[in-house]
Amino acid sequence: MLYALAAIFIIILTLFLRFIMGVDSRTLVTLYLLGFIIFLLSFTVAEMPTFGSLDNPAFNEVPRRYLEQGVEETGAVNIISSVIIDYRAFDTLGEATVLFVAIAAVVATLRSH
Amino acid sequence: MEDQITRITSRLVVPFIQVYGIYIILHGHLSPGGSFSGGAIFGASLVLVALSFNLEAGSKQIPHNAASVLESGGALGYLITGLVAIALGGYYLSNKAAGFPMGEAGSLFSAGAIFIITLFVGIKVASTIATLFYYIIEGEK
Amino acid sequence: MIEILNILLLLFLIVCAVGVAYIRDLLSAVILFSSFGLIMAIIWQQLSAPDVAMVEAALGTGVVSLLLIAAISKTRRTE
Repeated sequence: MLYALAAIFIIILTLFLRFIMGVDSRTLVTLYLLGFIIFLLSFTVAEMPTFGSLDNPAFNEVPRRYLEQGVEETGAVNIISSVIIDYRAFDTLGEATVLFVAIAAVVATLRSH
Repeated sequence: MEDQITRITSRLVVPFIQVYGIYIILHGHLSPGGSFSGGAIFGASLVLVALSFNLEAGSKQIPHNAASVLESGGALGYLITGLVAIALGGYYLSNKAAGFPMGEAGSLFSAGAIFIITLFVGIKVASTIATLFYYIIEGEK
Repeated sequence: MIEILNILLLLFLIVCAVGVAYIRDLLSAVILFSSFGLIMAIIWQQLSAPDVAMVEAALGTGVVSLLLIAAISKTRRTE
């Protein structure tokens, strides 16, 4: 019932835009494509888990271990710092390497002499 | 551009920005922030000097030779800290397992390798931002 | 009350993002982009990520717009 109503609404809207408002068919296709993408994105956002909820799939035993034993295992009170520089230190090494490569490229390109 | 107001204001403000950046780098394991944020703030203060005075005064703060030494030194220090962990008998870049001095949790000199690595990466990020700006603004003359 | 503030911030964010895409003057686009970064920093703070907010306020608002202005001063101001 709802789908039929939606289909009728879309058909009437199409006819209205095409023949009464005088929108050409290219613009119409673009509009419908954009509307479809907006619908998909809003649907995805509506299905996402609640922000900061305890039932999130991301809140499993790994962050629980970090929160409970992070201070004892790394000695850092700031849990974020203990994750990015101790547990995931190799990741941060890659990040620092990216910075180093970027500045090396800039210096090699822009050096005046 | 020679403007009295921006010169005097930045002369007053720049030391405070630099102290704030150093504070964030040094307290990376205690409070929000860390190497990247503190380095970005410190580098922005170096850029502010070049903007409010002129390019020569800014380049005097961090010459090109010193900038390349700081860049490579920061990255090398990170790598060497990881290798020291192997030499002390842990995995690469391990902290407590390698036996770095942990100190008391919550004090300034604690957390072993985290403190050292934060310092190195902070120096590296600060010099990256300043060098990027100076090279782009100098360009091809 | 906090929800109203968050919705207002998100609206400002969308307006800034669309404005950056629409505006023809590159210098105005850079200034709009830096205001985008400032609002984004406040939103990170609202999402309880103060360290990301600090990086965004220093890098996204200050340094990136400075680098873009430097690039504009080397090239042309309009598209």
